[in-house]
Amino acid sequence: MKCKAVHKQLIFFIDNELEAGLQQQVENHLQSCKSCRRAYEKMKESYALWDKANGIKADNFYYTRLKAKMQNQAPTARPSHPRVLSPLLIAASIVVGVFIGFLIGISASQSSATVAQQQQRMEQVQMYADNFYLYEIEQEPIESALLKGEIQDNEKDN
Amino acid sequence: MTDKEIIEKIAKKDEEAFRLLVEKHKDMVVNVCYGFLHKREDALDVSQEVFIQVFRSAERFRHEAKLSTWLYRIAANRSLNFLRSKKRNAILNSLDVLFESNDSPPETRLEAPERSAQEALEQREEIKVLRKALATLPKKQRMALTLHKYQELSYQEIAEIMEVSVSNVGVLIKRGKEKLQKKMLKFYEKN
Repeated sequence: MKCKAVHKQLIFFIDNELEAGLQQQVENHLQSCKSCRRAYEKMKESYALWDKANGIKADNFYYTRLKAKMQNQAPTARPSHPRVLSPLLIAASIVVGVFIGFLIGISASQSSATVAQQQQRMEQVQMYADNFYLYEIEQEPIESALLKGEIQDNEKDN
Repeated sequence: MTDKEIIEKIAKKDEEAFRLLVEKHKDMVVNVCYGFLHKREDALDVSQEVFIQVFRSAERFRHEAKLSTWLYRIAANRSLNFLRSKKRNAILNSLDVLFESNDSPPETRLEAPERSAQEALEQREEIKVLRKALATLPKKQRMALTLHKYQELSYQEIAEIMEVSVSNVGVLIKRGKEKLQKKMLKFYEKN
């Protein structure tokens, strides 16, 4: 019998649940294989936890302590909503959260659009101002030309 | 007084009947809890919760099953729930440690120098191995295996407690043992 096969049967071997032939085979292997025997002994030791001898007993003051605990334990206040509703409330709060986030997102994009519009308007104003200024500059020579013309006419008249 | 009479009186909040029930079944209930929890203090604590539940819900007991079967069922379920909440608390405690909390975890507080022989046994390495391996088993496998191994209950009794078929109990115990064995061997190989 190989070690791997023995390992699969160890727990049932400890509990004496194997068929007679198999039980004997495992036993023979354990006698000859040191590492399997070590694993068997450790497992058997762990199993000792379940021995009845390791059980515990309640002492004579058990009931007195129990009564004290019952008196201390005020009936727990039930939540105002049934427990079934809790997942619904969580789902609803998630939906509300997403909705609020969506609204914030929209308003943010709108505000960024407004900024862009304002910038555009400013540019237009600037362009208009520039044009007007240029126009003013362009007008200057005409005015001065007219003025010059007037002066020249006056000079001719004189 | 029969078990039926005791339960009927407890349903009417008769304290004397309740005391009788506790005195009669306390060792059994404490030991069922101990079979799952492997710690004396925890077992005593959870067993008290079992009796408190019995006192509060006695009127719901239908006498279809034996009183002891009902007590086994409550004790097993309470113990498994306790382990689950303890596992959750352990995770939270480890988070506390991560965030450098100064509160010492409950496990540390239990390490008193004058530990009893029972507690010393509970701290043994081999027992820790079994406890860890058991913790990885699915709830039903763990319950069936513990009731069978520690309480030495028959498949029929376990079937009644767990409300499953006898053949199902056999399957649960076999699979539980196989998994337990695998986990324990893996641990021994590492160490």
